[in-house]
Amino acid sequence: MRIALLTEGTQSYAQRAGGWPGRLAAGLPEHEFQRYALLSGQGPAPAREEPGSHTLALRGPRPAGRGPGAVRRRQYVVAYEQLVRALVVPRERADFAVGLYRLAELAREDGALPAFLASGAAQRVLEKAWRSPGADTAAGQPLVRDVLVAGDLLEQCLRPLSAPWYAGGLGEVDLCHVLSGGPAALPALLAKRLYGVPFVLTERGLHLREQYLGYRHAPYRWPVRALLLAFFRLLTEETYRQAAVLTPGSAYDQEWQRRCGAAPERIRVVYEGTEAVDRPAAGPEPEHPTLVWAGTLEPGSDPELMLHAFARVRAELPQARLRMYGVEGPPRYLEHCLAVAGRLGLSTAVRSGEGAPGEAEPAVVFAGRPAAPADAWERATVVVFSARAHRVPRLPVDAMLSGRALVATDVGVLREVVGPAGLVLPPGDPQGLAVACLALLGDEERRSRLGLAGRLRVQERFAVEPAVTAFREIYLEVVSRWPAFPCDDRRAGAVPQPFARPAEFWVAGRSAATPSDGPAESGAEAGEAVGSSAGPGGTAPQPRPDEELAVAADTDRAPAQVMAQAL
Amino acid sequence: MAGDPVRELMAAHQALCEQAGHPLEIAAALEEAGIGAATAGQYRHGDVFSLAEEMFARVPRRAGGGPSRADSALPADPAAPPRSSVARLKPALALLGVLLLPLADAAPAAGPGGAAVALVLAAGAATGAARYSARWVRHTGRAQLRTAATIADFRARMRPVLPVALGLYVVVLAVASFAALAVLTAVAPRPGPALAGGLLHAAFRQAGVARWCAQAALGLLLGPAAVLRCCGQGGAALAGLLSADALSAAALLLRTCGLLPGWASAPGTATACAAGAAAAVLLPCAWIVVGRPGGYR
Repeated sequence: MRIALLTEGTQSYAQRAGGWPGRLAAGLPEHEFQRYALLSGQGPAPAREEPGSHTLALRGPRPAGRGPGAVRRRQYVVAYEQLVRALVVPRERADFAVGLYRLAELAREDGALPAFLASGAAQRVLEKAWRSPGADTAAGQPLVRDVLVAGDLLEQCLRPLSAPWYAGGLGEVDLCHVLSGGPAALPALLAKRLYGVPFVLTERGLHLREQYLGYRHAPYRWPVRALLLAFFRLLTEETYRQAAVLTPGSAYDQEWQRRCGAAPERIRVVYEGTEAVDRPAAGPEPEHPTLVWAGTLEPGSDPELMLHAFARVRAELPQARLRMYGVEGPPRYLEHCLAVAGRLGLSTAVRSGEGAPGEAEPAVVFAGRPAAPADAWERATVVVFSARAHRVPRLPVDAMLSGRALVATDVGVLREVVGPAGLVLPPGDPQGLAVACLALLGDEERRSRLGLAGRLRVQERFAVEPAVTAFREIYLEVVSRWPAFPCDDRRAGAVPQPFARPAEFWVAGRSAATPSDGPAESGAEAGEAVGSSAGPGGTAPQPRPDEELAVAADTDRAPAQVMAQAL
Repeated sequence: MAGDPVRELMAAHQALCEQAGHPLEIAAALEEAGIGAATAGQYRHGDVFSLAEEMFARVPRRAGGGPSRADSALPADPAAPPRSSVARLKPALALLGVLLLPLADAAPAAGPGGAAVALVLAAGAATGAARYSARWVRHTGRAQLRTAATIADFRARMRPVLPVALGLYVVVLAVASFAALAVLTAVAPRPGPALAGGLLHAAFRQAGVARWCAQAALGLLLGPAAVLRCCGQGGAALAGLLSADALSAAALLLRTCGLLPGWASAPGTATACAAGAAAAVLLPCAWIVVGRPGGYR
């Protein structure tokens, strides 16, 4: 199958050979992968594109190009107005998809969308819709500068619509695999709309939720924030509606996707495979009982709770130590943590390595970023996650792979990752956390039992192989359910119709066929059956389906005759 | 707490609920604050989503203090690419060409006279004023952009700005020209009997009517060109200057070939016509661009 991988990320992520898309492509060598990357970083465009990979900058200077002419501009205005009204007028929400697709169609024909969105006409449309009666501006009226800012942001989000990817690129693949929500799903939505290419959506950390959290600290006024968030929400809903299968990275994300309107029967949780599963478990425990905390130093990860709990642990167990790994999130937060530790009477140090030999070991060490995550777990007796919110399973999975016992708060993904192989307790309870830590620190047998169970648990769930297998099955399932699509029908606007062709068509009707049209799985099977009995192609060892079909067509017999012979 | 557990939570997240555009926004923020599926039960809800829906329904939306940093939320114009030195050189050359026009446009036999040199020097000195007034236009535009409610409102506020800026520049240009000519008169008086009316009158008479018209046309060309350049339309400004250069070169060529009528052979006429024609295009352009909010970023 030809599969298009659509990603959104920073420059380095798109250029890196490894990473999750790379592992997926390496694990499924039988499929042909093409990469389409949206770059949201600020860096310059890549000097050269690798063969089979395409990039488009989502930020930075607007792509060059002229605006539409007077007649086309009228059509652009109508489509854009529909889209914008769907964003700001609550009772016109349903028109979002219509406006989006109309705009996409126009943009695909002449590529003038970016220039149009920056023009005065687009600004007037946006302002008119935003200030029309019925628009939701309860918490603030839009000003001129909001119109400008929102127009710029929409232009950046809608750039994929005018990407030169559709004819010949996404139009000819058998399946799209979108590896992030939001704008990265736009090309897939369009490919589905125009060419009937189905798509699978994988989200690791929900795009919409990240936007909700990110825009709270964005320097935009309320109307801009509300408009952009409405855009992301409606885009997400449309994406979930159109996706053939959704594969969130955790059951926690699954719940969110259901809340955003995804049909439960199309959601399949696929944990992200990590290559670290082959790493050996951590060595012997450190000499002193040591708690290791890991995460970004920010309020959401709640290092304060850890410090409060540790003060109680230390009161019971004076030789206990605490190592805090992680870089500072908000500025000066490390200082705040040091002050909290000082108030609790804990001696602190900020350093990454060991202290001087003769020096007294402080109770709390802020160790920054470890050279490798395994180094952090190596120094732990028990690993603690005290977060108030934890959205991505990567870090706790890595910790459990070390074979150390885990204490975690019951938030986000932590419960499903830790499961019965660790202690889970409610967030914001220092006394409970201290008791749990003490219980584990004082019971070596339980510690090793839980650690081993945790290691086995994540080795089973988070290995690369199960994830790759899951996607192999999902690809085949999606493609087999999708109406087979003869290549000459693959043009813009053609609606796929299952059973529109008789079975014979697939056997003999593709003399001018392009190479292996993946969705024709059923056709390929039929061809095999025919070839083995009637055609000389059947004698070749493991022939490609398209060769067989060509042979079947070359025999120049009526399809019915071929079928009769086959039977 | 016993009667209405959500009330306390609403008070704690008052600003969030007032500013939220959708219940999911509240749900995301609640989860970030540690209220997840496990703790939603305390508030008599099955999950954080229904809790967020209740909070969204119970707290009315209210216009409130958004981030104060919002004042600076005018992003840089995404269309502006970094300028290279060649891109900077081109307008400078075009400007130089326009400034030196009157020198070429002298009487065919006599060569550039002292008056033409004095006027060129004056126009060159006044380009600083053009740049200053263009910057003032941009500054005013940005200030209005922060507070204007609608595009029409913005345009209405910007309406007097271009005339004032151009008027200031033209006044400075006129004063500079007068001064230059007066110095010329004092240094090298015209041969012949001294005229009544003193230095000013003599200075005025140094350059003919055509030359004064040429100087005015130059002013009305350079002013809008500077404004256009400041408002992000450098291409239009450059095209205006270059077309003035080309027009006047064509006129001089025609005059050398003797194809122009007699009145057009007075020094300064070619410049006046060429610069005037270009200015007639650039002025409406500048008028439109100044009223457009997109240029001030």
